[in-house]
Amino acid sequence: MAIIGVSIVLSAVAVAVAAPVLAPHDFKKQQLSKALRPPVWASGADRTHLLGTDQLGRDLLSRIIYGARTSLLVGAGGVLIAGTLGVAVGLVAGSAGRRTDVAIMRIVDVQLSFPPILLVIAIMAFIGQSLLNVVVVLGLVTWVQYARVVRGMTLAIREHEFVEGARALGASQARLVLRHVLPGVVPATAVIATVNVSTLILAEASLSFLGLGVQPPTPAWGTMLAEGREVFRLAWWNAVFPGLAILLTVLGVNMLGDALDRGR
Amino acid sequence: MSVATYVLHRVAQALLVLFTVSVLSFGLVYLTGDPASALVPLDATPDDVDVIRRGFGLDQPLYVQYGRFVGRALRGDLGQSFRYRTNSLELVIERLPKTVLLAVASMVLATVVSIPLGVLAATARRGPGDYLATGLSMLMISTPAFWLGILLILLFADQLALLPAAGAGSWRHLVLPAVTLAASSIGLLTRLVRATMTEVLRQGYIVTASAKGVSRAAILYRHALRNCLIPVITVLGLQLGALLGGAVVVESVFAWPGVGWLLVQGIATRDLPLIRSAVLVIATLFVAINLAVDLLYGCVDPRIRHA
Repeated sequence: MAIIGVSIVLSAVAVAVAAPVLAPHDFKKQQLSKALRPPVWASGADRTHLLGTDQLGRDLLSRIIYGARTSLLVGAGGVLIAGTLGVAVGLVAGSAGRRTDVAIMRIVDVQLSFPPILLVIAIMAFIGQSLLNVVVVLGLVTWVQYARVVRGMTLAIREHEFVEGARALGASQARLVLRHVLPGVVPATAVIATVNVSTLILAEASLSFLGLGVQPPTPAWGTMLAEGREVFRLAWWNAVFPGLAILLTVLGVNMLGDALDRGR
Repeated sequence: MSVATYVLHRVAQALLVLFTVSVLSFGLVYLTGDPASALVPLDATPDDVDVIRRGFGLDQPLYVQYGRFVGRALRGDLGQSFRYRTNSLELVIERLPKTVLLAVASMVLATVVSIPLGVLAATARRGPGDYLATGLSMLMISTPAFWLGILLILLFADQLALLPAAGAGSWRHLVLPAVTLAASSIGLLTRLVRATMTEVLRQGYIVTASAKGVSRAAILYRHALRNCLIPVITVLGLQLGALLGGAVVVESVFAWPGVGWLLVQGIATRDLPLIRSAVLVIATLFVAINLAVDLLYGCVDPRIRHA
């Protein structure tokens, strides 16, 4: 399972990075005369468009390939923001004393008792919709999982003898946390991060589907699905393939996360 | 911690969350920069904007505005919906039963499917049944709900003409949205049941029961399942909240006339009072469900209070 997961994730990254080389067509080139052509294996297909075309005659495969960039960028950027913030807050809560701890955990509890997708939808409806805003908002909404776990682990690791030893040798608080506690929370953080990536990719797709995420002409799988939905009775491929791309990517990330969790 | 302290603690936390929710739904319009121009329809003139600014008291200090907002909200007034020209909160409350129906139906479906599936996986560990259940649940967690919804419409409404593709009214309208919304919960719960059941089946009393000659079905459903229900029910409570959030997306795929679809329409038409009301109502419901679940379990299972 780990091997399948890793292969899927690496392929998705490779596709995103090599998009200009891999894409057979310009993803934004419209050809209305070629609108809604089916995939090559169906009758009436245009052989140069492997997965067919959308309502503006744009090549579906090329758009899916470029869409990988959006999804992975949101996944990576969101994890970077959520992970950095969450781990930092968790380390502080677990090591700075009872008062700080209680105050921080109260904030965490408040955020956890709010439906995350609703929070994101509400914020995105009011601030402008752009890739950067999607990444920042999703990152700021999902940091709490990291904070909770890291805080718990910090409290536990601090009790270990090697930390006691380092303290006895006169190590500063900052050094204790960064040199001795931080390495201990890395494996758990990696597991949370993979789960987080799949949540982020699905959330971005939902937002784009609702028209609140990445805006056209930037290709995003969720946006493509929303456009495909308008014509799915005439041209099923426009709604099916982008969704398949999301499913496959998220599945790969989840399999990887499962394997990491078991190997811990 | 005594029960009374626990209840008090938990209620105080819920109130804090409600306060945050109110600040958030109050503050949302300020994220746009100029709340006055955000609060009027797109075709308003600059004079209209000025009227709104004074009319809504937007020239007052923020704390005064917030106080007025809460005062009005408590009286059930969150402003007129631009599109429907009536009280936006009433509009939302009117749609609420439909959303609750959808969420509850999905939760029942998720429970009914995931418990046997999880038990199957736990008892047939590393067998075909386990791989099937585990694979299926992984797939369900990874599937975007709106895509699943479109596929189900293509198959069951268009090709087979078995079920309606959109709208509400009969139980047949409920089937596709409920299945769509339940899918990821089914995946999550199946994994949870499998994990807790595996753990429980290793316990001594299970071995004792089977040594005494108790039948396999009785061991599974009378002894083991009961003991893995507490984590399952706790997660179910949390899932109900998640389903309320997920309903926003699923409702708009199936044109299901609930709060979620109303919210999405409100966003499309920039109907800010309506968005505010929908967010406030869903969030309040979510907080209430969480509180109820926590209080119930704090009373039933002492271990939770002490955690």
